Amino acid sequence: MSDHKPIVYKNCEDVPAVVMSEASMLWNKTGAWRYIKPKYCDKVPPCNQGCPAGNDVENFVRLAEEKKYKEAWLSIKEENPFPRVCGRVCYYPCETACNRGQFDRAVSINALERFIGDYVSTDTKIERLQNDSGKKVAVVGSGPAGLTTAYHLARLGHGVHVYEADEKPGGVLRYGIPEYRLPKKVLDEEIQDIINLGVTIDCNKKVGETIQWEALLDFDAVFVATGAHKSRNVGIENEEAQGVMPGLGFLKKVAQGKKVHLGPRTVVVGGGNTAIDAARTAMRLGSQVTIHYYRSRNEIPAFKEEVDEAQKEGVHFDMLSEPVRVLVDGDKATGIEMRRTRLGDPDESGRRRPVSVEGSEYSVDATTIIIAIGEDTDLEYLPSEIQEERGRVIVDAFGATSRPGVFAGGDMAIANHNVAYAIGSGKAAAIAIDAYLKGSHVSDIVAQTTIGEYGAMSMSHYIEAGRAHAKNRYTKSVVSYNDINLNYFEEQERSKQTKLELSERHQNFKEVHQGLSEDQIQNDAQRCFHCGVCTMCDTCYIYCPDIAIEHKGDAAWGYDINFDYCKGCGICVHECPRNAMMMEDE
Amino acid sequence: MKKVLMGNHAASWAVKLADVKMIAAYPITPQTQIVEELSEMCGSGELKAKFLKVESEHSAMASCIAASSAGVRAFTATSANGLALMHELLHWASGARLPLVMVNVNRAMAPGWNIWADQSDSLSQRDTGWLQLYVEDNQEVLDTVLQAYYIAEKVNLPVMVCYDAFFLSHTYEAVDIPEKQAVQDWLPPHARENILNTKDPRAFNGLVMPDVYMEMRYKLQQAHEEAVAVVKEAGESFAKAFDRSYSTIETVYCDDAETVLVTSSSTTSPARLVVEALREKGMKIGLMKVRLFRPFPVDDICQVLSGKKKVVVIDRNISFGKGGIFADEIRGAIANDPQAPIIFGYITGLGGRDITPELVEDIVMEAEKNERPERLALWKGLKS
Amino acid sequence: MRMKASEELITSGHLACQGCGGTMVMRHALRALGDNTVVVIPACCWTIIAGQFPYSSLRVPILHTAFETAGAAASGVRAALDIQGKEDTNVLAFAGDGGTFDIGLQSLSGAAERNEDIIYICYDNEAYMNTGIQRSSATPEMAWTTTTPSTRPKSGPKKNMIQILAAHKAPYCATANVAWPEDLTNKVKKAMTIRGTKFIHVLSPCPPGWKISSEYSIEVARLATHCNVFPIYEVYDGERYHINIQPKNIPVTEYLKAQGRFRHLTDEEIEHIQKRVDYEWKILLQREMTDSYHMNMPA
Ligand SMILES: Cc1cc2nc3c(=O)[nH]c(=O)nc-3n(C[C@H](O)[C@H](O)[C@H](O)COP(=O)(O)OP(=O)(O)OC[C@H]3O[C@@H](n4cnc5c(N)ncnc54)[C@H](O)[C@@H]3O)c2cc1C
Ligand SMILES: Cc1ncc(C[n+]2csc(CCOP(=O)(O)OP(=O)(O)O)c2C)c(N)n1
Ligand code: SF4
Ligand code: SF4
Ligand code: SF4
Ligand SMILES: [Mg+2]
Repeated sequence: MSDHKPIVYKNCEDVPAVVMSEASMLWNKTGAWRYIKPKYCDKVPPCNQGCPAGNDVENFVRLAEEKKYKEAWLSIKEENPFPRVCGRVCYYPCETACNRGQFDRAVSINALERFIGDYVSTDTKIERLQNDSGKKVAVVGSGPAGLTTAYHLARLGHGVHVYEADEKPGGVLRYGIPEYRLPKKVLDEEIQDIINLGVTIDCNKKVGETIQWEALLDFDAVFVATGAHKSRNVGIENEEAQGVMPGLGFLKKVAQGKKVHLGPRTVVVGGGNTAIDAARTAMRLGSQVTIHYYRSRNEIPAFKEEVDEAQKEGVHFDMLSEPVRVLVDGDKATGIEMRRTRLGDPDESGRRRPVSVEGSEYSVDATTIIIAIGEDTDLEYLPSEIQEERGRVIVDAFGATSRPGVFAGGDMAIANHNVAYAIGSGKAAAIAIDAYLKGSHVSDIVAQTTIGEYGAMSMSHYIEAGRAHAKNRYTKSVVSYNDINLNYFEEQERSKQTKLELSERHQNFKEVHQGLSEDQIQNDAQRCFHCGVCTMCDTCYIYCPDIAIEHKGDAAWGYDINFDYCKGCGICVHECPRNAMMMEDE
Repeated sequence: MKKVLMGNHAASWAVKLADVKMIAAYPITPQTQIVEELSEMCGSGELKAKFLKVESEHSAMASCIAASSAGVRAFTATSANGLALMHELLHWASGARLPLVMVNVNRAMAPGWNIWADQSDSLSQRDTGWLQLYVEDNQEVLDTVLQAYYIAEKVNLPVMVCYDAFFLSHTYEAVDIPEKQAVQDWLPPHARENILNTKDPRAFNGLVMPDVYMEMRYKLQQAHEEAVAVVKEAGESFAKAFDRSYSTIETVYCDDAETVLVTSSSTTSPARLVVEALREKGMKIGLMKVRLFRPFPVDDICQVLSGKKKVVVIDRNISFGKGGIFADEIRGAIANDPQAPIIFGYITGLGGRDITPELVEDIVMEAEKNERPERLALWKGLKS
Repeated sequence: MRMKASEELITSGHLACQGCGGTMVMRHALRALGDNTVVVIPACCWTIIAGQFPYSSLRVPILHTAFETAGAAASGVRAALDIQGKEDTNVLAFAGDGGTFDIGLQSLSGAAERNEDIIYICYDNEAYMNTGIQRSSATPEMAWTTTTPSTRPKSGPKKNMIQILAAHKAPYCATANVAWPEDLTNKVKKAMTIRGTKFIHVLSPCPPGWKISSEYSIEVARLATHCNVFPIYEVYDGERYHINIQPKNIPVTEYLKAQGRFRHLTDEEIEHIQKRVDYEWKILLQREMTDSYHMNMPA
C-alpha cells in the first residue's frame, strides 16, 4: 500500500478487525497547516561589508577553518590581488565591523588573511577568467589602486599597460610603507602575480613628463591612480633649510636604499601615518626621535596600533605643540621653535581644534626635522575636462570621471586614504571599465555588485563566479549582532600575533609582526560566527519537529525543505545560529 | 494421572500444561494459591515462563495485554476487587483482540469486605467483550482453562474462567491431569499474526475515527457470535482427546420436563441432587447448567426452554435495580419466543452463604406453587 | 550523527502542533535507539501525534496502551520479548508527565522496583496537554492552566520525579532537554548499555500549552536550564549525581516572562520562584558533591 495515499475502506468487510497500522502518515500533507514558511537565505556578514577591498571574509575564514588554505587564498584573490600586503598593512575595518567583537573580541581576520597569503606557495598561478577581448586599457600609476585595476582587467581578458613614474611599481606600498611593516619581497611576489597575467608595467614613465596624456587616447579606456605624493609645507620660517625634509621623501629615500644622514636628534612634525612611519624609520637609523603634534594623543589620526608601537620603540611624543620656525645655523637647521597649543571647540571633523597658547614658545634641538603633515595630489597632467574638487578628481561609485572612458581611483579620487580603499576603488573601476568596453551600463549592476548596503564592489558577484553554496548572496541584508543566536557560541580567546622583541628593532628593518601560527589560525577561524552564511551545522535539521528538512545529498551543499510537511513552526529560522535562514509569507 | 487438587491448583496445572509463557498476577483471596503454585512451578523450572510479580491487578492485566501483543501466551488470575480494578483494561484486551486467559475466582464485592462466593464481580464485567465460562468442579476448572486457550486463540478474544470462591477454589477433589504430550497434541501452538514485530513495525490500538470504529465493534460482536460454535467445537474435540465432554450448556432431564431449573457454577451440584430427588417423586423437572455466559448461547438455551411451563433460575449475583443476572439474560434471550415459559428469578447465596439442597428444593417448590412470580427479583434464604 | 530524514524512524505527516517539543524528544530518542525497538505509548499527546488508524508516524512498532499503564505494559513487552529470546530489542516506554507523575506513577514505580530492563522516557510538557492544558503534578508552581486559572494558579512546587526514581535505586536516571539533542541522544545511548530501569525525564516545550509562539520552543526550553529551573543531570544507582550542563544562572524572570502561562506573576511571586529555584539548585549541587562519599554497596 502506498505510504502517500490515504487508505479508504469502502465496505464493512474491508475494515480490519484489529486496530493495527497499515501505512505511514506520509499521506498527510501537513504543509497545508502553514501560513509562513522558512527559507534558506544567506545574508551579508558585516565583515564582508566592512572590507573596503571587498574580500569575501566569511568565506576565506571558513575555508581556512577547513584547512583549505589554497581555496581560501583563491577566494581572496578573486577580489583582491594583495592578501599578503593587506594582511600586513590594512587597518582592518572588517574587524571593527565583525559581530564577534561585540561578543568577546573580533575574529583575527587580518592575521588570517596574512597567514593564508603567506601559506600558499608562490608558484600557484592565478587564472584569467576570460579570453582576450582585444581591448587595451592604460593605467597610470602602479600603486595599489592602479595595480588592482590592471589585475582585474587582465583577468577579464583585456590588455593592460601600466605607466609608472617611479623606477619600480607599488607606489606607497614600496616607497612609503617601511620594510619592517611590509617586506619588499612580499610586495614583489604579489606584483609578480599581476605581471604573470600579462600586464605590462612600464616604469620610469611619468605621464605629463615622459609621455603625454594624448598618448593614452590610443587606448580603449584609461584608469588613473597617481596617488597623493606632494608633501605639504608648514609654511614657517627656514623650512627650506638643510636638514629639513618631507616625510614621504625621507621614507622613499630609505626605501630606495639611499643613505640618509639624520644626526643624533630627529624631530618629526605631524601625527599621520607618514609621521609615525618616518619616526620609527628614523629611530631604526639610530637617531633619537620626538614627534610633535598639535592636538592631543586622542586626536592623533595615525593608526593607534602604530602609535603604540612607536612609543614602545622609544619614540618620544610631544603633544599639543606646533612649529613656529626652524632654528638655523647658516643654512643648516639646528632645531625648531615650538609653541604650546590647547584644545578648543570641535571642528567640522568632530575633533577639537588646536588653539595656540601665545607666549608659550620653546625651542628644541634637532639635527633633522621631518615635516609630515600630509600629502596632496598632483593633478596637473590631467586634461581640463576632467573635473576636480578640493584636489580630488570627481568620480562616481565606479570611478568614472566626467570624461567618458576615463576612470580614476585611489588617493587621488577618494577621501579614504588607505590601501584597502585604493584596492576597492581599483576593482570598482575595473568592473566599470569592463562594462564600458562591453557597452553595458554599470548602473544596471550596482545593486548586484555592491556588498551589503554600502560595501565595496564584489568581482565575484560581477562575474557570478560560482560559490556554489552562497549563490544568493545578492541579498542586501547585513547580519547585525542581534541577529546572531548567541546560545551557540562560547567566549574564546582571540589569537594574538607575536611581535619582534623591542631589543631587536634597532638598526634594522626586520618585520615587526610575525603573523599567527596554524594553530592560532585554527582557533580564530573557529571563533567566526559565519554571520548569515550557512555552515551546514545541522541545527535547523535536527530541531525540525516535522522532519521536513533534508540534506541535499552526500556531496551537495545545503538542505531542502519539504513543504509538503513543513508546518511553518519557525524553529529552524529562530535557532539558526547565524541567521542564514528567514521566514517569508506563503 | 489423577491428583487430589484444590480448584486453584487445578487452574495452575492447566496453565502449566498450556505452556503459558508469561504470567502476571497480584494476590487476592481466594485466588492466591493459583499464583503461589505458579511461582513454584516457574521457580523450579517445570514451567518455563516469565512471571511478573506486579504491583496491582491493573498492572497485571496491562502487562498481560502487552505480552500478548508481543505474541506470547499469557495468563493472569484474580478475584472481585482485583477484577474491578482491571475494568478499563478488560476493554483493552478484547478491543485489541487478544487471546488472553484469566481465571476469576468469584468473590463478593466490598464493602463490607467479604471474601466468599458471589458472581457479581465477574458478571459486572459482562460488557467488556470477554468470553466468560462458569465452571462447576475442579476437573472442569482444569479442563476449561485448557479449552479457554483453545477458544481464545481461535476467535482472538480473551476468555475468563470463573468459579466460586472456596466451594471450588479451596476444596480438594480428585482431578485427572492430562499428559503434557496429549495437551500439546490437542492445543495448537501459539502462532499469531499481528503482533509487535520490529521487522514489520505496526502501531496497535491507536486512534480510531468514527468512520470505522463502528465496523470494528461490529466485528467484535461477530467474533462473539461465532465463538458459541467454537466453544462447542472445543468441547467436542476435548472430549475426543481426553474423554470428557463440554458444551455451552449442560442439561439433565430436560427433554420431557415441564419445569427447568437453571443454575451455574457450584450451585449446579446441589441442584443436581434436588432434581434427581424430585424426579424420583415424579415431578417433571429438568436441570440446565449455563456454562457459557458470554457470548450468551441464546439458541442453545431457547431450544431447551421453549415450550416449557416454568423456568426457575438461581442467581448467586445481583444487578441492583433489576435482579438476578442469569435470569435476566434468559428472559431477554427468550422474549420473542411465542412459547416462552414463565421465568422465576431467585437470588440467593450472596457473599458465600450456603446454597443447600434444601434451599434449592424450597425455591423449586415455591415456584411450582405459584402461577407467576410476584416480582422480578425473588429472594430466598433471607432471615425471616 | 548525520542521518537522512528518510532514514529517521519518525515520519513527517504526524499530527503534532507546530513546534511540539514532545515530537522532538521521540525523534532524538529513536535516533539513538534504532529500529530494533518497541515503543509503548500511554494516553497523551503522542496518542494523537502517532496518527490515526490505519497509520503510524513511527517506523518502529508501537503499543498504544491505557493512560496509567506505561510501566506495566513496557514490562509485559519486555517479558514477552525476553522469553522469545529477543533480549536485544529495546523497549521504550514513552509517556507524558500526566502518565508518569500522576496516573501512571504506580505502574512506573512497580516496573522500577522490579528493575525491569526498559527505557522510560517522560516527555514533560508540564500539564495534560492532550485534554486541553489541565494541571498535573509536573505543572510548575504558579503556572496557569485551564484548571489552575491565573486567579488561582497552581500551588506548590513541581513533583521531583528523578528523586522518586532515584529512591527506587534505578540504575540510571537523567534529565534532558530538547534544546540539547546531542545530550539527549547520548543519554539514551548510555541507557541502552545499562540493564534495568532507565528513566529519562525530558523537558518538552508545548507552544499552545505554555502560550509561546512556536519558534520560541527551543529557546524557552533552553532558558529553563540556564535559569536553573530545569537542571540537566544524571543519577547513577540512585546515588551518584552528575550535572551535565553548566547553567548560565540567568534570573528566572527571563524564563517566566517568555511564556504566557506565567504572564500573571507579580514581582513578589517571581522572587518566590527564584528563591525556590536557587534552593533546589543548591541542593542539587550538594548532592553532586556528596558523590565523593559514595561507597559501593557490599556485594
Ligand atoms: C607613509 C605612508 C604609510 C601608509 N601606511 C598605510 C598603511 O599602513 N595602511 C594603509 O591602508 N594605508 C597606508 N597608507 C595610505 C596608502 O598607502 C595609500 O592610500 C595608497 O597607497 C593609495 O594608493 P594609490 O594607488 O592611490 O596611490 P599610490 O600608492 O600613491 O600610488 C600612486 C603611484 O602613481 C605613480 N605616479 C604618480 N604620478 C604619476 C604620473 N604622473 N605618471 C605615472 N605614474 C605616476 C606613483 O609613482 C605611484 O607609484 C600610507 C600612506 C603613507 C604615505
Ligand atoms: C484513565 C484515563 N483518564 C483520563 C484520560 C484522559 N486523558 C488522556 S491523555 C490525558 C492527559 C495526558 O497528559 P500527559 O501525560 O501529560 O501527556 P500530554 O497530553 O501532556 O502529552 C488525559 C487526562 C484517559 N485517557 N484515561
Ligand atoms: S564573526 Fe566571522 S562572519 Fe561574522 S563578522 Fe566576524 S569574521 Fe565576519
Ligand atoms: S542552522 Fe546551520 S545548517 Fe541550518 S541554515 Fe543555519 S547555519 Fe545552515
Ligand atoms: S499540545 Fe503540546 S505537546 Fe501536544 S502535540 Fe501540541 S505541542 Fe505537542
Ligand atoms: Mg503533559
